[in-house]
Amino acid sequence: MTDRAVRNILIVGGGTAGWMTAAALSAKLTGLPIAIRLVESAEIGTVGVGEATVPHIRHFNTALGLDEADFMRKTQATYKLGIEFRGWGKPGDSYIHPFGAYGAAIGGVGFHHHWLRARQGGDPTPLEAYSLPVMAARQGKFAPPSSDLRSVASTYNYAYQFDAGFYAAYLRAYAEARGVVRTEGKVADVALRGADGFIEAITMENGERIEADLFIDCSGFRGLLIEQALKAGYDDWTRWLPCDRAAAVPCETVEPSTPYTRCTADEAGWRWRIPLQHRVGNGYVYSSAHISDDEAAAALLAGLEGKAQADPRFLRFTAGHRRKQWSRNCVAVGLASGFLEPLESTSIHLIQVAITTLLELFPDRDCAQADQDEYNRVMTLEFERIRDFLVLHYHANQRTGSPFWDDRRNLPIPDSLAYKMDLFRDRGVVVKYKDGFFLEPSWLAVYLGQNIVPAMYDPVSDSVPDAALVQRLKAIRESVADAVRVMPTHAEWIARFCAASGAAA
Amino acid sequence: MSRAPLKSVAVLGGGVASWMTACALARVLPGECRPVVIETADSVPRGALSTLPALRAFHGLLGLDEATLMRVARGTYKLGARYNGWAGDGHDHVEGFSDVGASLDGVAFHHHWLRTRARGDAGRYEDYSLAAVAGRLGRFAPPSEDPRSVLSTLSYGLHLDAAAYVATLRSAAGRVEASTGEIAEIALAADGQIAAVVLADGRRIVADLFIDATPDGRVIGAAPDAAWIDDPALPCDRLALREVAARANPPPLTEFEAAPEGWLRRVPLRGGDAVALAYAGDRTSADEARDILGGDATIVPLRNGHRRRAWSGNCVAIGPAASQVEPLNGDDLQAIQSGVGRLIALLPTADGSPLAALEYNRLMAEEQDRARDMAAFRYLAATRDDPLWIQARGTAPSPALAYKQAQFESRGRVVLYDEETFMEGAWAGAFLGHGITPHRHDRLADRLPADKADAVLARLRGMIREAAQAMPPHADALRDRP
Repeated sequence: MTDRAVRNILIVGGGTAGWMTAAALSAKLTGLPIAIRLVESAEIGTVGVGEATVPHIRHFNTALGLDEADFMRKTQATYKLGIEFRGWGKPGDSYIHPFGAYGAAIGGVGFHHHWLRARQGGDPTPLEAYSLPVMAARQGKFAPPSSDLRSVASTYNYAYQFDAGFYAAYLRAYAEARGVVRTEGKVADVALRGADGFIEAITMENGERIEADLFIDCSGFRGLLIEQALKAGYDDWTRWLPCDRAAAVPCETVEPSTPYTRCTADEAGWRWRIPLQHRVGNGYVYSSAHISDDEAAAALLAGLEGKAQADPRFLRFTAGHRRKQWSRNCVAVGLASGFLEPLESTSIHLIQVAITTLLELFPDRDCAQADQDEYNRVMTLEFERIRDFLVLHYHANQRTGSPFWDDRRNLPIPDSLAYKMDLFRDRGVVVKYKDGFFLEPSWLAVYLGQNIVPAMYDPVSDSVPDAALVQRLKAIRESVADAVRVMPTHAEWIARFCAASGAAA
Repeated sequence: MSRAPLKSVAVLGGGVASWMTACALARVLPGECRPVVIETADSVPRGALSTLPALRAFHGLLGLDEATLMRVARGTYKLGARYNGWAGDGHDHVEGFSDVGASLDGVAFHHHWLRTRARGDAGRYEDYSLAAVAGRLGRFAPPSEDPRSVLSTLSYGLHLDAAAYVATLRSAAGRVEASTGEIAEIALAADGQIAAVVLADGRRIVADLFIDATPDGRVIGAAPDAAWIDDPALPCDRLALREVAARANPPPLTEFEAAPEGWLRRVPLRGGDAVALAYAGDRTSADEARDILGGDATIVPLRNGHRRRAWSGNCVAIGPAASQVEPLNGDDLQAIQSGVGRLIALLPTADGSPLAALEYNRLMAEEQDRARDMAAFRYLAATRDDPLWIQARGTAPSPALAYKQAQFESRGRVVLYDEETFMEGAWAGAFLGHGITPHRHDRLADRLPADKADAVLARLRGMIREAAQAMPPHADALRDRP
């Protein structure tokens, strides 16, 4: 170890981002002489909108060595096989974006081309009949995937729906047990070094001065360090993602929890429904240019399935990201780094990518410009690719006559998305790239779920004879249906494996 | 299907690009559509091919039996490539087709190697690659499927005689109509599509889709926006080809030796070694090139660069007609394999598919640039002071390469873009082999106590050496697979 090595890290802000960072760093930097501190104030509420996750969270938890059942019990967690989108194409439509593939390639040609071919030939079977996670979700069933790659039960993955506040507390205990020191209080001042503008120290309201080599800004939207002190700048994506507010409210559980999150299109945005063991999380993400806070709150409350457990809480945000998510000796993680609405449950995922990338590029005290450049390149790409995927949901709508939705359909979209959509419309090709979270099945789910149907299928599909194709489709359909038939219900599986005490399940 | 499937495809040129394309298309085109191949005289393949392991998957798709192929096409095994004399006299490194070391404690191996090296003796980076060590020892064994065996870290490519490879493809092509002919004229329709290719014997070839697999792209060159763009990053514009006597036990490696005039390549084939000299025609004469190779040699032109569009209208250029890079990465046929694969994935309809062409051109250009970067890097990292080498070093790298190299120099980070032929291990091996040493290693490597890391490295090195020494000589491995 050289004398340029980082000796201490200060995380500013707790919440999901702060404690995920603290937990991961305390686990991954074990063996190095690095002290980790976290300052947070109990007076500042955390946002905690990221209650629904994507399957990558399992890698994160596994890397920390968390016990799945224990983690689920302590965070009131349920399983998640995908997201149901209601009313996004036309009012009344429903599709599920699953964590898994549709069918399997036949003769080297992607399954959806064969499905399109069968459909053009008059077969009305919906694509979801070939997806095990969708069929299981529709029937409220859950079992973990099989590790036998020949089995249809290995063709999916899962994530969790949990209480983000409990998750932060769970990780706090983990991090503190590994030496992270927590300091209660508010930050009063941030001091920059004259020579290079690096952050030298923060001063707490009680006067305590805390120095560090590396600062992690988890202070939320305001970006206490990255923006207020370092002026990193913000790329505003409101023109593509105009929703700028959310109202959130928990309600009582009245039916068995579903193994999926629901996103329902509404007048000026969309409503989420996230079933946990002990309650259901609800929210309305909307554009304040289209409806008022009161109207949004009323719509949210009117849509609840059970009794509200609190008054709606309001959040404000601007879609986009910090131009530099790593600037000098400060890395922004979570909402301090940018905001993309949780339509595809990517908030926690972005925290996770930030942590992983920081660890891959873990700096010396001088925070080499090369490290900052690479971090910012990787994170910007991640944000942009998720952005395109979110914009697709809004753009591909047939909700005519609604001002909000007409704008989404008619106003310009990013060129990178327009290109992808053109190729899909033309011939069912999903543009692939190396980095970026959403893979082909995700794009297929949304394109087809929102009624974008290619003009043609891959002509190589025709090299599979008609009779063989019919037989193969039937076999896949039946294997999916058979596998789902023997799965336990979601509630049964939770009760067996990870029921929290006192949960309604 | 709202659009009509292809009814006719014509492949112009008779070389490797032509036959790889025809063979692959014949398997996927509708039954009534048989590819037509017109073999031109100048398409006769020459010399040897040094290929990547990925080509073997292509053979698998075509159903080509590898043992038969190797027998007919004078094939030998390739465990990697050896470069010597690039970073001055005494420079010598091997880039092998296997994992190098093993990721320890979640950190890529080269960081541990850098760390141990900074404190003492870590040996060469390649000492941790079973393929490189076996290659230098002239030994070969096939990869193992048992993940616990060190042999499972291996993969291999093939050295093939180009003309015999084409003959093998031709005999395996199935429903392809081939004939010889010379291209006399390209008849364009008003919309820029190719209406017909007129042959010297008066035949008029009409097709929904034309594949230009000629050596110089004389068909695509007539299409709109398909002009050739030279690439100044690479200095050689000629290849002199010759065959010399085989060695008793040739190493399963392609050897690239830097020379004042350019570089020499030696590819072992059964019954002889194919040697080539890449050089610049304005610095070195053909006679000088022959002298360097020690006898008569065939001189073929080489033009580094690519088409502005490899797919324009109803014409797709594949192989040298689309792009050329000095063959110093040992990735011969990769651009063809990829071009064919992408064409099939984006197969057009009879009335054309402009969006498919757009995507094809985007992907191929990106892939081409990344492979070119690897070749350009080898020149940029060279320390020779002959005029050709100084000239090559004076060419600015692409921004992508400059960034990639800066990232590696800074902290050993390998940046990978979307359409890379070479993955992290290959780039790390090339960077380190050509003498690029990161300023620092990944700090997370320091979690492993130093003495423990040293012991793991020493054990790995010994295990790999032992495994390599236990393999039979390359010549025996070839004899046992007749």
